[in-house]
Amino acid sequence: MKYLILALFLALLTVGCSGGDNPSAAGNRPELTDANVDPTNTTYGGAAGAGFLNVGEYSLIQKDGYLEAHDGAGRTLALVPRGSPPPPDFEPSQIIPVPVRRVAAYSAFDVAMLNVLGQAETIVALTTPRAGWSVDYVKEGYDSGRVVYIGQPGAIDYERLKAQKPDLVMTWDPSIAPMLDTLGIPVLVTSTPVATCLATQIRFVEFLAPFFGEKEKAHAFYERTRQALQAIRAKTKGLPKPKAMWGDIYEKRVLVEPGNAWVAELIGLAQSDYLFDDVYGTSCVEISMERFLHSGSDADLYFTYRSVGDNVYSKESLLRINPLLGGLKPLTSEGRALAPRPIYSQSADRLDELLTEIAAILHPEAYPGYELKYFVELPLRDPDQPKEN
Amino acid sequence: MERLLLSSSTGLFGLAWGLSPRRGTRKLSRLVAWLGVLTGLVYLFARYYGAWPMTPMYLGSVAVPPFLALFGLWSARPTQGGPHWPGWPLTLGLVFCLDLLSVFFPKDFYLPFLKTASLFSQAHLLFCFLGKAAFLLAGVWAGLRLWAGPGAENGQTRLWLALGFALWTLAMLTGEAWSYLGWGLPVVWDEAVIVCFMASWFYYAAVLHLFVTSRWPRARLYLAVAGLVWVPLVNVLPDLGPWRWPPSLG
Amino acid sequence: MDKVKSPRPGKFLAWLQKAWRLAGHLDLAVLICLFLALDTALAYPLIQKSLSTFIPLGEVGLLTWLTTYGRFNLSHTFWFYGLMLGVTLLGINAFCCSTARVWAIVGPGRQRGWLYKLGPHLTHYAVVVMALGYLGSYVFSQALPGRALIPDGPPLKLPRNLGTLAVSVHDPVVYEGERLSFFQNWYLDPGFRLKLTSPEGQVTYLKVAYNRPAHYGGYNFYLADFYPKSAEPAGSYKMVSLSIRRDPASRIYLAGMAIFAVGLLLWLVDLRKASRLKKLVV
Repeated sequence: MKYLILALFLALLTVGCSGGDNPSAAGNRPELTDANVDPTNTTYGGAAGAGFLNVGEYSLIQKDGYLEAHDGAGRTLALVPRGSPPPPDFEPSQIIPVPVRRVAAYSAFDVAMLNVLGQAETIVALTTPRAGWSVDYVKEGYDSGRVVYIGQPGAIDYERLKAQKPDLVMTWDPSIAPMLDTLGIPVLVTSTPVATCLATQIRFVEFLAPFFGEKEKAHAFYERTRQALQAIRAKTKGLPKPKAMWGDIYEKRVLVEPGNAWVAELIGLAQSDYLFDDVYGTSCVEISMERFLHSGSDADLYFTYRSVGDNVYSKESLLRINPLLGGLKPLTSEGRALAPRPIYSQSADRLDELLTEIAAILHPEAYPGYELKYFVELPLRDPDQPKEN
Repeated sequence: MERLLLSSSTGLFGLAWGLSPRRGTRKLSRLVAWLGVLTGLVYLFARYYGAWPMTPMYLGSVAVPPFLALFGLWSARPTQGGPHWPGWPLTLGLVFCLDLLSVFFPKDFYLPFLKTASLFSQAHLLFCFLGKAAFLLAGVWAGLRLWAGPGAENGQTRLWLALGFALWTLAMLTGEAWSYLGWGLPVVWDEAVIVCFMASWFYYAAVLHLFVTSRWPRARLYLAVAGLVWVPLVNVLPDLGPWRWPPSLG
Repeated sequence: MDKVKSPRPGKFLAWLQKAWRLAGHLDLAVLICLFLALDTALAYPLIQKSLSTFIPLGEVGLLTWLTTYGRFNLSHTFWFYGLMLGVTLLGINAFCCSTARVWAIVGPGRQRGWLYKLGPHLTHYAVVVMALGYLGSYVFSQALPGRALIPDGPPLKLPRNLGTLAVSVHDPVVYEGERLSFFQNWYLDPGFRLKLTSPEGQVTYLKVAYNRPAHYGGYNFYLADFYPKSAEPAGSYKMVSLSIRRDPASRIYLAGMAIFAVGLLLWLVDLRKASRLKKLVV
């Protein structure tokens, strides 16, 4: 009997551990399948109508008369229908009246998510001035006087913010929470300690939808993105895999997108190898220089964090900023380097287009005639510089 | 410089392993293994020095080989047959393979973080290395017993299992103390590797119970030998990075 | 009225004894441990795939977690239910196994060196105490996560009429070494000091840092995060995020850990003595 148990145990061990033999960051995220990005799916992230929704680090729990929300920083908030009594044990700055009517937003991602839900009209304060915006609905908000600039994230004019009477401040910066607590303004932290995975990037609007009562629009966004993903999978299936990396060097620091970030997952889904797939952590995670250069010597494609126009015009200009990047193969004539246009960071509401464009960059052969809209492929030398003979 | 130390240590262990089967070169094998241990420990010291007062990350795969070799050298002391201890080539083979894994699958690119600046964190890591090495050596002794009979083992499997379990438990207790002081929780779920740690504690709790109470005499030996697969699979693998070719040797 | 026939006490006692022996059987302990080893080894890839499902366990409490995150992510969390079941069975097994034997050791006919023989049983009881402590901690602890303050800013009102909490900065320690170039000028210890004012106006000052919680009024104050991380550039905004927890059960599992350590030590000494004796005899 005991030998039978022993044999069974060893067999199970072999089977059980085969799933754990790749300690990469790729394992640190929910597997992206059609099933688990389905908002009505019950196997991952909760069920519609079950009183619980879990999207990555964000969650909503139905309580008696209100919804308890947990934001990206793990803070607890209460979504209370307007006119209903506030729940006990919550400070005024933790109570959000729903539907939310006035929002101050820090990041372009937050603004884009509001646009997905058809709530761009609720934006009343931003931390980027009008000149920094490329999208029309924000410019129009500024022009009509509805939106005001409240200063950069590190130097907010709290008096101006208070004067705008926001129901909610959406921010990536948890450090503003104590100040806004004193002003009685609820804060929703939309950044997380670990990078946002693709499933969360697609489904974040589901978490946000109850704040505005816009469930259908959230589902439409999901459906559009899901179809784009399916098309990418179909188009890139069986193609040779290019090796890609995403990151940059800033003085003494090397920052990369980890394998659990949504761009890294997309690269994997689009029949490509992401060279930091094994790295796990926050968005822009810091790793050693040696590893960055080692991976770079093997890469075919390089995505820089620096936007076009930020002294970045060509591979040569990138090398001028940091000569250490010379060790990357994509910055020679043997590889390709891509820089995002400013509109890239403001287009999270067009996630389907972003995903398609990244797939087209990775596999130009599958997308003949595709014109880049969100990225620029950097030439070897500055465009205005005469070529050496 | 750090990588040079690691690759030197690996090379020395490889050489010691190559010398170990021949009768005439076994003494030399011990000498070379001592050098390997020394180089490996200097490498560990360099990693700690580089990260101090924080704890260096993902050292599991690189820290176990020198400690295992050290325990092997202790087992091959004169009273146990000296350089002719039959478990010596197997121990060195394990040491060399584990070191090779560290060279070809490095995971030394993560930077340490502030919360690891704790004596409990440092102690937890050290007890983990020692515990893994003791469990592996217990597997070697159990293998010898199965291969050569009771006379070849003389209760050493139980001794190393007990030592390994005690060290592993100390690692658990120091880890929990760190978790309590840092987060206020007995178990922090931020790191998946916590369950690998639990898994080996339960595994060796089962094996040790069998040895202490003299039950399932042959099955328990197989379970102890299976530890030679269990520990690398469950407790070393999570500390390995992606395949690297060519390896950085210096 | 018919007389109700009660089971014979002798038979019942015999059944109870048999059940007790079975519950504390060593083979059962081995099987439970092997089951738990497999269960937790299987959990590794599952947790890796859904870390965000498990992280809230410490904040929302066990019961809420089981009915929300656990229930709706069963494909990733089923092993946790197995772990709870296994640990419960192991606790029962350890208790039954040791209770029968401890009396024989400490009872009237005890032998020399009986204290060392208690070692394994102390570890068994410690497992029970620790398991109860963990359960109590995850069920009954009260967490107030992510309470953020501005140093020298307005105070935070504490629950249970404990008064207010404010934070100030005193003598921060900055990394000045050369070894970690990326870490230069970063705070090793941001130097936060808590000012706790009771409703009667009594003021208590306590230091708080990473891995160094402050204790006040039954609550523990853990430093969760702070901004900025670096002393340069100076003068920007500052924030300290505290995790405030009230966990009476923590003493139970801490006591369990201490008992386990003592039991282990006694057992190792006993083992050593036994091996010496064996050598003498041989």
